Amino acid sequence: MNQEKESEKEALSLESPTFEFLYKKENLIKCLQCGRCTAGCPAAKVFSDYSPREIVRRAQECTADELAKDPLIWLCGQCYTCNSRCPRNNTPASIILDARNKAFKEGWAPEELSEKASLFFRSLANKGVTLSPELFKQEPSLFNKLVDYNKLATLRADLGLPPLNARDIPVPAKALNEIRTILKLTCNKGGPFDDH
Amino acid sequence: MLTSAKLPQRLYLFKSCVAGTFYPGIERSFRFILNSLNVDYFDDPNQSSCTGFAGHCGVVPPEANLSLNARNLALAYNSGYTNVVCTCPTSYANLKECIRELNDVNTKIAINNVLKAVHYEYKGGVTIYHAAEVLYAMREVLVERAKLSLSQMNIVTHHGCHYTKVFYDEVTGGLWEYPTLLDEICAAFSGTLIDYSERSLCCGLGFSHLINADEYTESTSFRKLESITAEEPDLIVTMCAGCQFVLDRFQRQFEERLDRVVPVLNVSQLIALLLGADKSRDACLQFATIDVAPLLEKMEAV
Repeated sequence: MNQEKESEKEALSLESPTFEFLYKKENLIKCLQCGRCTAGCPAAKVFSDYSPREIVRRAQECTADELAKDPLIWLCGQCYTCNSRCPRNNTPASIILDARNKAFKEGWAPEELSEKASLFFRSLANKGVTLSPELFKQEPSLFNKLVDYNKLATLRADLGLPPLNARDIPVPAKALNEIRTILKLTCNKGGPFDDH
Repeated sequence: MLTSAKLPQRLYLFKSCVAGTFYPGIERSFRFILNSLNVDYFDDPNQSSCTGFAGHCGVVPPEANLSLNARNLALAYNSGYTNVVCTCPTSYANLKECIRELNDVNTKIAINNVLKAVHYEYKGGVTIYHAAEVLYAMREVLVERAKLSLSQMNIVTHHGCHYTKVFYDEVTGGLWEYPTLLDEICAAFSGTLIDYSERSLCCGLGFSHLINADEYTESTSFRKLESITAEEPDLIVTMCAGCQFVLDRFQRQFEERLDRVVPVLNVSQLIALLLGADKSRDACLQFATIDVAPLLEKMEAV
């Protein structure tokens, strides 16, 4: 136990690494604004004010903070069609994901999404799984009210499956402690892990 | 890319939180198939979720995603079962992306510093597959063992964006813009494959959009389902529990706007049924929103 505490302290004392690999300015420079990303984007078809081409242009011109505060970043469906169609190997979806990460970290994410998405985070810390039936007991509207928890729990019980967990066999206690330790070390102060 | 000449051995099964929650038959069916063929696999309870669903919403930072998955990959490496098989395309793409990032020396050092606290070290040496690729590689043997055939069945396929569009140059079967992985598997069991206009369109899941219940999911899934139902297929075959959730459940929502409903099955469930798996205990068809029973009548004995 002491050895574990020491190692944790050692890892914490390291200068916090930066992981801006999803938001590299040198990749953005390569964008030629051809618009193939927008032409194939399902979200651009639904939302007339949304265009991944425009998001990349903004990313080239504005700061990371400005992009993270832009409400348009929440309209992407993360399907990566833009990634596969870009002739310059850019990934607008990853630029958007990086901006979303920053928005969550700084508390700029939309309130309702923030509340609901934090359930995933807690599930990860409490059960080691991102999604589990328990979340639909806690928040019946989580998936557009498409999930009836009681019906799901009955079907699962009939099969001998745990009603609240996505796993046949829960993550063992030692492994769960490891998962929690990693989350504590990697989620910055002010992030969602502060709830615990 | 995976061919029958390179059938991976000693498989490390990577769990799917969406499949485990809504369609337990996907993982049960895959294990049924592996057991039928005596394939050696490890079903490790110690792994965490890949975090993908929450990751794409933005709520899990990349540092946490990378570190948790470096631990998952180290678990696979240490077990000696180094061929990691995902039933979920988001896990497949996420784990592959983590490996790509961990190939950077500085990233690897930083992540291994985190892993020191829990006494793991990421050393690489692990390969990521999707379960459908493994089924594709085994299809000839599977057809020999099949008790039922798809000869009376008209089928459409949906491959899942995170399989075809993230690592688009590593797609097995066809090209990313027109993947044929699932089509070739179904054709091996004598199924008739039908094309449809929105073949490469996202199912509509959209991660945060499903939570927000906004226009994206409803509009995109309707566009997809309208183009599928227009072709009047008997079955939609997927390789993603998330896509299956949307295509299965939203049909009920759109019942008055669509001419018909079409059952949805994961490729693992379909093949397990063809091999003689129990429809309730193994394939767990009772979890489907659109009734799958009419399909079973169309499966002819070989």
